[in-house]
Order: sequence, then structure tokens, then C-alpha cells
Amino acid sequence: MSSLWQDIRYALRMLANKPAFTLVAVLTLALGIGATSAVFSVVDRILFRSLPYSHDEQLVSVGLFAPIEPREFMLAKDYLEWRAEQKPFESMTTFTPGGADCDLTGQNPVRLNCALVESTFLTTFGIEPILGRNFTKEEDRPHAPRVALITYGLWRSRFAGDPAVVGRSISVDGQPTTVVGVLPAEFEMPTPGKADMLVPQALDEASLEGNGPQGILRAFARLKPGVTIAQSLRALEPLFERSLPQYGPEFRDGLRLSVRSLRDRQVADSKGASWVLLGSVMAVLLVACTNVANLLLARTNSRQKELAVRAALGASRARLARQNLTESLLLGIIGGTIGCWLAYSLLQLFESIAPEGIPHLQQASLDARVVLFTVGVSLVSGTLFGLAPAMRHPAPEVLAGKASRQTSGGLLRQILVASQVAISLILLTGAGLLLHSLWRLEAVPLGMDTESVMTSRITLAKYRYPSQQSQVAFFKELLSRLRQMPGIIAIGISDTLPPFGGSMATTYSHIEAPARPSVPNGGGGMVGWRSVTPGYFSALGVPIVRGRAFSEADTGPSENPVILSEALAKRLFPGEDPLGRSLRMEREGPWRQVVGIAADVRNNGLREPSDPEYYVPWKMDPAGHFQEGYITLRTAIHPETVAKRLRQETARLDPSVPVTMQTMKQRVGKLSERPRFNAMLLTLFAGMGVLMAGIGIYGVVGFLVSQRTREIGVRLALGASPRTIMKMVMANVARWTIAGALLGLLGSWYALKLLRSLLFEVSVRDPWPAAAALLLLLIAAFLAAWVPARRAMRVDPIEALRYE
Amino acid sequence: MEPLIQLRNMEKVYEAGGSKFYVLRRVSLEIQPGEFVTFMGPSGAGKSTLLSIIGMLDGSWTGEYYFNGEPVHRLNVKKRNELHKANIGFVFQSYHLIDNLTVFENLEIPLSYKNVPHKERVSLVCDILDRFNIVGKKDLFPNQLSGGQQQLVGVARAVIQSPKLILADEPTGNLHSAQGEEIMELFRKLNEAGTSIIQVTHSERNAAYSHRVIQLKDGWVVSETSNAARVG
Ligand SMILES: Nc1ncnc2c1ncn2[C@@H]1O[C@H](COP(=O)(O)OP(=O)(O)OP(=O)(O)O)[C@@H](O)[C@H]1O
Ligand SMILES: [Mg+2]
Repeated sequence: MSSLWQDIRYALRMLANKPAFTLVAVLTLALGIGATSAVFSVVDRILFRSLPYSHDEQLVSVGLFAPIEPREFMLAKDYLEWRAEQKPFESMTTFTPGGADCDLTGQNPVRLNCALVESTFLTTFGIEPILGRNFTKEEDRPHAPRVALITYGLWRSRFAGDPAVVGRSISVDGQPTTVVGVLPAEFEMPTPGKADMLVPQALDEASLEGNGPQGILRAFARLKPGVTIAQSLRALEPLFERSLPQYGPEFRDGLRLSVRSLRDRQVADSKGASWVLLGSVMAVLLVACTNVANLLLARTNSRQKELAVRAALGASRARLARQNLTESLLLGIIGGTIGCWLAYSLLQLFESIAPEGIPHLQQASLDARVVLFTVGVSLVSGTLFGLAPAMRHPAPEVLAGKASRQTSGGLLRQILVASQVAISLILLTGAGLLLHSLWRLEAVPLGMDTESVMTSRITLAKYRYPSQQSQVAFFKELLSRLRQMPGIIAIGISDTLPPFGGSMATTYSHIEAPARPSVPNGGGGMVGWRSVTPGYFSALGVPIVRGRAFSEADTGPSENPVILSEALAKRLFPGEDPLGRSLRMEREGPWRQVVGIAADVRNNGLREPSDPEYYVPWKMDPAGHFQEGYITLRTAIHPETVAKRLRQETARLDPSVPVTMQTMKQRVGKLSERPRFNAMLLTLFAGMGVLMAGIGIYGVVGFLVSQRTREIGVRLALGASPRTIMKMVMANVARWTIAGALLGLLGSWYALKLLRSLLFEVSVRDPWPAAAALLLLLIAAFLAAWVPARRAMRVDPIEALRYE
Repeated sequence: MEPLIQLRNMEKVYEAGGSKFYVLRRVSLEIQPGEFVTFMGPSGAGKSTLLSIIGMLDGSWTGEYYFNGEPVHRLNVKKRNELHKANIGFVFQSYHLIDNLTVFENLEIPLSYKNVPHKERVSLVCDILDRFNIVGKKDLFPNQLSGGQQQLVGVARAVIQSPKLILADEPTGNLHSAQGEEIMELFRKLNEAGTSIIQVTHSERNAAYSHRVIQLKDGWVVSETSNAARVG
């Protein structure tokens, strides 16, 4: 015991005596442990940890898969049929996508998210309310008395955790609703997006038997024990075949049946990025381990003589190993402690800068297992490398003064450095690719002028504005008030806003145009449309390339003008002048006169190609949608000032209407948030990798120089010039750096395939990021080697040769 | 004939903590081409220091130094290095062979610094291996040789580029007497063939091989004696 204490004291003194060594080792460990733990904690939730449902591995998402929609859907009618006849599932359930805004009315009204779910929802997911009960089948019918399940959070915040809330009637959208239960704290919806309350979706099953309008549902199921996803797919195939004929030919071709695990559905678009982050942070950990190993290796080598003397004085190998181990462990404890703190800070940083839609980020917490694992890995590797030379070198040779050949330890160290260089190069190239891709994404021309534009989305509550007339009147009144505001250059209202299209679209073949080349029914792709007020084009800065924008006169009830996008005009009227021509956009719709052609605008986000589109005037129309509207303001003054006024005006009109506001720049910026986040993290990791590789190179060259001081002295005495010495040292570094770089290039060839799904208009084989990374790395390696190499150049031969 | 080495009032000072410490004081001496000279003196007398200066490894001193008529004290570092490279070979007490090079490669080093072409290098090395009777050892590493053999390679390395002058600082200090004698015999042969030699030694027997013994003490040259009873 006392000898252990002695070991610790001695180790502490060693660490204190070599502050540079200790600092570098501790920082390397801390960085490696910190970054790995933080990233692992984030992706752990996405990739590995079980979901908060009992036997979550049995849960699947079921439905049809169409190319235009990234997630499975089901039509209500199909669902009823499948639910009745399916074999592979213990149970099936649905909810209505998007849920519904709902207002908790009464005193202090607030807007909540209500999820519309089937009565079987909780039982299928294996969730028990902590208070009260689930919905009954009877409550999940149209016109049943209204009931709701509230989340734990809402229960605590709104009802002060009062158990008596169960059975109480609350006012939702102005209607009495009975709270039947409280959900557990860990409850979460299986899809992203938050719900405060569950209410029955109340499918009108009776009317669906006929040919009523078909709602879209999200369906989930629990597999029977022992049934695999592949088996369930086969079992559902006949039902799928039977459903197909009811889809128009334009859809049918792309449709397929899909059953996938709930986790796959949840992490679909985060999966690729998660693996990339995990891979790169593991690479950083590897580099960190290598560095620690390298440092300890150097340390042990330089203490060979001391170790030999101790051995000669009777220390057993185990005793020597323990001394080494104590030092490594101490380093690990210090580095690990700082690493934990770093991981914690990094995690908070991630949360604050992460874009929306990274699943489970809020729940990510530092995991003790993860921290232990990373500390363990870095220490074990470090210790192994640190011990190896201590165990290998026979003591007598060193003591006899016949210095043995140093190549073995040196070789190992150089191999370690080469692998650091290789890994860093892969990371750097990856970061370069992501940055290049990000740059491409942000350089996508939008077709509009986003400078000084404020946008605002206003959603009216149905219970306050039940009719289209009242909705239109609200927006018209708001518009006329906003026009009075100073500093406004143009103002527009529209039902949707670029760079998205929204849900309004028709197929190209539905458009009736006399001159249009014929297209098979259902063919020609999608054509989007928006209804916009006259000010829309100038507010967004969308150029009208021919004809005119809408005017006030176009808002008259009998006017039916249309403005086409350039792409649509070119397709409908190839080689002709579309102005003044007549078109019918849908079967029963009115004939419309083309009054203008607007420049193309991005309407499918930044990544996907845009669809052709057309514009109709925003005005009272039974087919229109007025519950939600976007207000676009182009201002001469600061957009934030305008935002304030807009909020005030809306509140003056109706204080219960919530307003969300964004500048157009922010809105567009959101689209590249995730790529930016990914690129940023990878760049950070690559930077850490390069830094550590630099430290590694510095250490190895420094070691080389100090070990070979005598040799350098001899060479100088034999006629070498300092420049020759410098060249000799640099050539040695170059050999290993270049070997590492080649290995890295080879590695990138394979590793970077992982990045493919994250890249936009950039090929994984793009040579420029690799070339830039190579250059950067070589410069870093050169600088890292330069400092100690200069020391080699300045060796004083007399000094070097004086002492034996 | 012009002397090979001519020193006038050479002084070497170390400054430590503000106080000056003279290692060499007003050293003036001449060494003729073909001479074999020994420096002797107690430990700390400045022998090694003087040898480094003559060998042009050390450039910080005052006074005048002519090598073969060239004023070394006026040359810049580069010129001085060239002069050193072209004319001087070193032999060290602890051999200072390079550990991870073979005997052959060790012998090649001085040639590579003189940019001797590869082919010529190989033939020169083979020549010297032959002359020193160590052909069989050419692929061994220094730690596979005995001390005497190592010093043999050390001397071979010093002569390979046919220097005008060989400087040897206690070349037999680490060897037992039989090995030491072998090295001294070698020096004598080299000297007879025309190479000038300066050695530092504590041994009277070794000193007996030289023409002249110069005694140093506390940095001063205290005596010069021609060696009448020269060995051989
Ligand atoms: N870098 C230095 N700084 C200060 N003093 C030095 C330095 N190098 C040598 N000296 C001093 O110069 C003096 C001469 O040293 P030198 O090595 O020339 O002696 P030496 O005659 O070769 O002795 P030995 O026979 O022991 O080899 C010594 O007193 C030594 O302490
Ligand atoms: Mg000496």
C-alpha cells in the first residue's frame, strides 16, 4: 500500500516536472474524450438507445410509399380494410398527420398542439396513462362527447399536477372537453413534433365504406412475436395489390408497400449524418489515443536508462510496469475529468446551435457508460504503447553504455504518426466535401430577392373564424392597416411561400391548354400553384418577365387571370407567346387568361429541382384556403422594426392570433442549417485531428532530434552543413507524412462513400477537397516539424560531442 | 615552406554569470605540413577546446588563425565549413559511429557531404575497408564491433576523404593498450604517407609516436618539446 502511495507521489512529481508533456497529454485526452462522449451521447439516442415504448423492436410503420412523399401513408378506407384482414400484427393503429392546432380557451388562452389519434394508439405503443384511462372505442367516433388525454408537461404546467384534473371538463377551441387521463412523463409521439394533448381522431368509419373523401393517415403496428418485417411485408402483399386500382395511373407506378421499423422511420434523414459524425468522432478518438500512446512511448524511451538502473537495483518488471501504469492512470483521471466537463459543454453547445429536427437531441444527456468507455479506450491504448518498450528492452545493454539501436521505438512512433496523418486527411477531405456542398447549396439561385424581406405566418383558429368570409376579412383588414405603416415598400399575402410549394399542386396533364403538346393522362409531373395578392411579386422581388403582375381589378369576383412561371409557360406554349391565351387549370375550374409570366422561383427547397408553377389572385373562392396566410413585407427600414409593428397591428386586430415571424433570409437559411451543422462539426473534428497530428509530428521530430543530437554533432564534425542536417530531419518527416497521406487518400476513397447522402451537387470523388486537404495537412506537418528541425540545425557539435 | 597551421594570440573566453573565464590565453603556435603533434596537459587545460578551434567546429574566439595560408579568422561560417570539410578529419575518444548505420554506410558519410558520386564513393569505401583490413565487417552495425574495431572504423572514416590534417581527441582513451597501440601504429603509417596529425593524449607512450609535444595548462601553452626519442 505504501509503495502504491509512493508510486503515485512519484508519478505526480514526474507530471509536474514535465509540464509540456503533461499539458499536451491531458489536453489530447480531454479533447478526445470530450468530443467522443458528446457526439456519442447525441447519436446514441438516434442509433442505439431503445425508444420509450415497451418492446419497441416490434413496432413498425406501415403504409404505401410514393415517390413524392418521403413517409408511408395510408388512405383511411384502405386502413379499415387492412386492419380487419391483416395477419402479421398484434394490433394496428393510426393518427392523423400534422395533428391540429387547438386552443385551450377560457382564462389565459394558449395555443397547443393536439395529436389526433385512434383509440388503439396507446395500447399499440404499449403506453399506460399514469392517471385516468385511455379513450374508449365509443369516444373515438364522430359526434361523440369530446375527451382528451393530456401530457405530463401540460398537466404540471397548466394544472399544477392536480390529480383531480381527471374527469374535469376543460374548454378546447371553445368547446367543453373532458380530461380522461394523464400521459407518463417519458411519453413522446412516434413522429417528430410535439403534442400537448391527445384527442380522438374520430374517423367516420361508416361513411368511408362508401366513396367519401379520403383522408391520409399514418399507420403503425406491433408485430406478433416472432414475425419479422420481411414476413409481414409478404403477408400484406395481397392487401396492397387489392388497394392499387383505386389510385390514378399517374400515381400507381411509383407506389410500393412499405413496412419498416419505427426507429428507421424516425431517424431516416438523421441516420446518414449520425453515422458520419460517429465515424468521424471515433477517428478523432483514435488520433487522440495515438497521440497519448506516442507521448508515453517517447517518455518510456527517454527513461530507458532510469528503468534499466531501477531494474539493476532489483525492481521487478511488474513493479516497473506498475510505475508506468500509475502515471498513465493519473493522466487519464485528469484528462477524463476535463473531458467530461468538455463533453457537457459541447452537448449544450450542440443543443443551442443544432437545427430543428434532429431527433431526441433534447433528451440527449451525458452517459456515464460512454465516458467510461472513451476514457478506457484512450488509457488502455496509451498504456499498452507506453509499456511495450519498458517490457522489451533488455536492461544490461543500456547500462553498458553501448546504446542499442533506437529504430524500434522510433519506428513504432513513426507508424503511429503516419496513421494520424492518414486519419486526419480523411477527416479533412470529408469536411472539405461538406463545406463545398454547403457552399453550393447556399449559392443556389432562389429566383427572388431575400434582402430586407420580412415574412410572417398567421394561422387563424377555426372556432373564432369559422367561415372563409371571416378569414378573408381578417387578412384584408390586416393588409389595409399594414399599408399605413411607414417604411413599407411592398406588401403581399399568399397562401404559401417559397422556397417551398406547400400542398397545392396538380398534375401537368390536368391542365387544359389548346396548344399544349399532348401528354398521357396523369403524366408530365407536378405543377404547383399559389394564390397571391397583387403586391406579392414586388414584395418578394420576383421579376415579371412578360406581361404584368396582378392588379386590384383582378380581385373582382368574375375575373380569372393567371400568371405562369417561365418554366410552365415554356412547356405549355413552346415557341409561342402565352400572353392573352386561355387555360383551364383543373377539370371543373374556370377558364383563365394568361396576363403575365413570372421568373422561376425555387419551390421544393434547395436540394430538389423546382416544379413549374402558376399564380392565381388571392381572393374569396370556395376552393381556396384562407385559414392560414403568409404576409410578405419588403421594407426600407430594419426588418426587426417592421416585425414589431406587424405584431402590434395584429394584436390590435385580434390579440388571440399568434404570429410567427422570420426574415426571408432566416427562412432560407433554415434550409441549409443541417448541412451547416454537419459541416461545422466535421470541420471541428478535422481541425482537432490535424492539431493532434501536428502535435504528434512535433513530438516525434523533437524526440528524433534530441535522441540524435550526438549523431548530428558527429555529422557536423564530418562536414555536414546545418542545411544538410535540416534536410535529413525533414526528409525523415516527409517520408512518414507522405506515407500517411497516401494511406489517407486510399482510406478516403472508401470512407467518404458514407458522405454521399449528405452532399449536394458535389461528388464524393470531387478531387478538390482532397487536394486542399492534402495541401493543408502537408503545410501543418511541415510547420510542426520545422520547429524541432530547426533545433537540429542549431546543434552545437562541440556540445554534442563533449559528453559521452 | 608555408606552415599548415599558424595561430597568433588566440584567446577563447566563456562568460558565465557576468564573469569571464579564459579557456585559452594568447596561444600562438605553428604546425608544419606532415607534422605529427601531441597536445598534453592536465584535465581542463583547454586541449579539446583548442582542437575544436583548429578543427573549425568552433568559431567564437579571438586572434589570428591561418590554415594553409588562408586567414580562417576572416572567413564566414560557410567558407569555414567548406575549408573544414575539404581538409580535416576527426577521430573521437568514444568513436561516435552512427548507431543505425552499417560500417560501410558510416564510412560513406563524409563522402556524401562532399558530393562524391555514388560509384566513386563505393570504390573509395572498398579501398579503405581493404586498407584497414575490415572488409569482413562492412555489413555489421557498430554495436556488433569491439571497441578497438569501432575505433578502427572511426579512423578509417577520418581518412577516407584524404584530409590534410587528422585531429584525434584521446583516440585510445577507451581502449586497452594492445588496441591502442594498433591505432597509434596506424597513425604513424598515415603520417608517414604525408597526413598531418594532431592528437590529444594523457599517455606518454602515445605521445612518443609524435614529432613534437605541446603542453597546455590553464589555457596557456607552457612548453614545446621536440621528440628526439620518437618511436619507430
Ligand atoms: N560550454 C562551456 N562553458 C563554460 N566552460 C566551458 C565550456 N566548455 C568547456 N569549458 C571549460 O573550458 C575548460 C577547458 O575544457 P576542455 O574540454 O578543453 O579541457 P580538456 O583539456 O580537454 O580536459 P580533459 O583532459 O579533461 O578532456 C574547462 O575548464 C571547462 O570547464
Ligand atoms: Mg578533452
